[in-house]
Amino acid sequence: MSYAPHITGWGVASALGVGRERLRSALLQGETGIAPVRRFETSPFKAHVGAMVAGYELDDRDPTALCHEFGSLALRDALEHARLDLGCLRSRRAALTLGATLFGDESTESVARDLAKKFSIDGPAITVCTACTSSTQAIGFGADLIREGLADLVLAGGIDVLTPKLFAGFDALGVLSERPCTPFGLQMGTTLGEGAGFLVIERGGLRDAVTYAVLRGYGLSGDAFHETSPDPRGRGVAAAIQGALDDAGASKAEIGYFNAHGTGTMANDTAEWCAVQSVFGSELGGALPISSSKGHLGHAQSAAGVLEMIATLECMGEGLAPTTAGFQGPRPGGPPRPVGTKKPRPLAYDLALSSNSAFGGNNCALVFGSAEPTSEDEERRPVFLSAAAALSNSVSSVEELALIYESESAPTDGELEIDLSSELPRVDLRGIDRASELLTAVTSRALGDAGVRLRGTVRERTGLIAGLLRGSTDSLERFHGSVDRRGLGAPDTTAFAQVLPSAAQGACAKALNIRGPQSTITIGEGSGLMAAVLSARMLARRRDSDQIVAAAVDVRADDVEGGALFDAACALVLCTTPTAVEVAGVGLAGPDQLDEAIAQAQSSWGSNERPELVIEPPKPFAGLPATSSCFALAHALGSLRRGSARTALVASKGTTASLAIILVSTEVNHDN
Amino acid sequence: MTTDLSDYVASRVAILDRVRQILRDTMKLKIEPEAIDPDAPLFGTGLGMDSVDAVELVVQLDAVFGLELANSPLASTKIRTVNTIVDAIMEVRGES
Repeated sequence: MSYAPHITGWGVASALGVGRERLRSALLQGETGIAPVRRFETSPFKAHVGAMVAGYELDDRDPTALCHEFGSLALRDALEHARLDLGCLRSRRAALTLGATLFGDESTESVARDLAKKFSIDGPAITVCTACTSSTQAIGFGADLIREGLADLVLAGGIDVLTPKLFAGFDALGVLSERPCTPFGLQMGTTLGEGAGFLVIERGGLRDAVTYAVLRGYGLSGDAFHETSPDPRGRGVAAAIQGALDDAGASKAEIGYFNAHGTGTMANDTAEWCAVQSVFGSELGGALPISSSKGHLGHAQSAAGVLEMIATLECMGEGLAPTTAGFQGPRPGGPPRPVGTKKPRPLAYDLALSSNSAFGGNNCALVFGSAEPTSEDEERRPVFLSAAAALSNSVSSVEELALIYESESAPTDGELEIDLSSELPRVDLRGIDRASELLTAVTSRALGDAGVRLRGTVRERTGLIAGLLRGSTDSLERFHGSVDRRGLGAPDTTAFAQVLPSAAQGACAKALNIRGPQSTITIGEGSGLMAAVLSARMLARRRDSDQIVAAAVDVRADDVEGGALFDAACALVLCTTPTAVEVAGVGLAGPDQLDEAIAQAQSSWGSNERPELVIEPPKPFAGLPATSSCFALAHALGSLRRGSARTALVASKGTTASLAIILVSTEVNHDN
Repeated sequence: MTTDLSDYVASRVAILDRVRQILRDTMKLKIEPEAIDPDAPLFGTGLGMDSVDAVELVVQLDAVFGLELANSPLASTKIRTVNTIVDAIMEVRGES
């Protein structure tokens, strides 16, 4: 069965005020939330304006506390809009998909964990940490949970807090505008913002609720171009938009309005306009009403996608297209006529498109509106596991991992040496950090074993989902250290570009030329297996990729037993080309619902048989939060291939979700 | 060789070594500093630096050698190769 994801409410905390009523009246009046920053001293910087959440301009609590506060405000607002009681979520098979990117000491999943607890959301809580595309992707993944019947109600959105260090990094990169940003206008540069937004997405017909719009589809892609700059030809953005149109089953002529990422920087706005022209053609593209909400809201980073979608929904309901606040005249190389008057333009449209792009080359586009989807129930494709690669101290292959399983002996502590330049002699690996190096090594080896050569269109048909907890430790230390030593006016820009959790996925995609659907997600412990579950579900339903690499990385993770610091990485190639091992069953449930996850996997397998093997994470590596569960899946694949068994179950109780995967050997099936 | 000239050469070599070290650390190059060609372009096909790395390099050069390249329109002409950086440093020190 496939269920349409109905949007039945939303809530916000943004620079235009707390609450959707406030947001709507500000948008209709053409107000901007951008003002001189007062929360922290901006004298070390060239730019001094920002879009802080209204009422919190002087609140200097630590970022995690503000994150929690903004998230709670937006969630309450969303529940009220959807006419749901605060305490009702427990009984409703609810899930949370959150876009959030912290680069402090906390694990990225902590915000989702705390909010899920506070709002009694018992189902899975998945955090997407791909910077500016975080909440956009979180909405796409949240809608999938409804589509596939894995949840009845999803709160999908994002949160971000503008901190002095974030401001410092962007300021040093030279991308901030001294005056409030005017996307597509003559003035170059962006203005940072913050805030939180959530959508209530539901399976229709379960209760008496108003459906304001349907999330029709989403598209993901990677630029494989540069860590901070978009591909100037806009190829990645175009691929994400095309992916969203295909997923929605919509033609480009049906799109009545486009809410662009439109940061205001030279690089972004020009690339985005190239993408619009390449997807829509010059005639349709030239006539497409297009605007950017960043003149109103600033660039709210991990919350940008959801806030911009909500801005669109508010205006759509009134028969209006949102404006580009501050726009006075077009720049060369940008859209000649964006919606740019002071007040929203009257416009009737059934389907809207919204797109965001991020550091690391991630792109995500959403298609939503009142039009009901026309497509029939989607057919699920079978998914196979074709190769695995594992890497850690004293482990350089899946075979060596098997030896660790047999002996249960602790690996040696010594440094894990990788000589990537000899493995990938033609790839420019200069400046790569530890997480990127580990991820690139396992991904390249796994794809090599699977016989996937990244040439021609295979690059666009190959995806990459990374599961990890935070940015690479060496880059984080280098960035924070540079601020401590040299002050906020002179942070290490090279390290800043690498501190995001998604930086490794972006660097790996760039090194290997992976341009298909990609993301970086976390559920704390179990993040690697989460990446595999997400990849399997995406491959089964979507048609925009033939294989996805699900990978996990831990850099200098504390080992529970010995107290040693370990580096580890694991990659698995999931594909739709039949191979010896099928991913027959997949389950995803809340952190305290491991049994439910296993039952789901069993039911999607469609067999009452008990799996012959139950593979746990290898004991000596049990302390590796992201990688250990992926190691178990890699070992399960190896075991089935060697003929040790015909079926295997890998299950993991992660920090914010429980997961289960059942693997079945197809070769023995044929013999039967 | 005159004393002046040998002093000049020694001073230039010392600065060159320091610049190469900074480059290796900034760019996380996995090669010995001596292997960096002083006449290779820093950007594009040479050492493969980009605008993001350039910002960090300028900060380092300003801090270590007292150059004032940050926000200077001259920065782009002075950091083309290792040798042009050394020239700029020598100039500031009045040794050129």
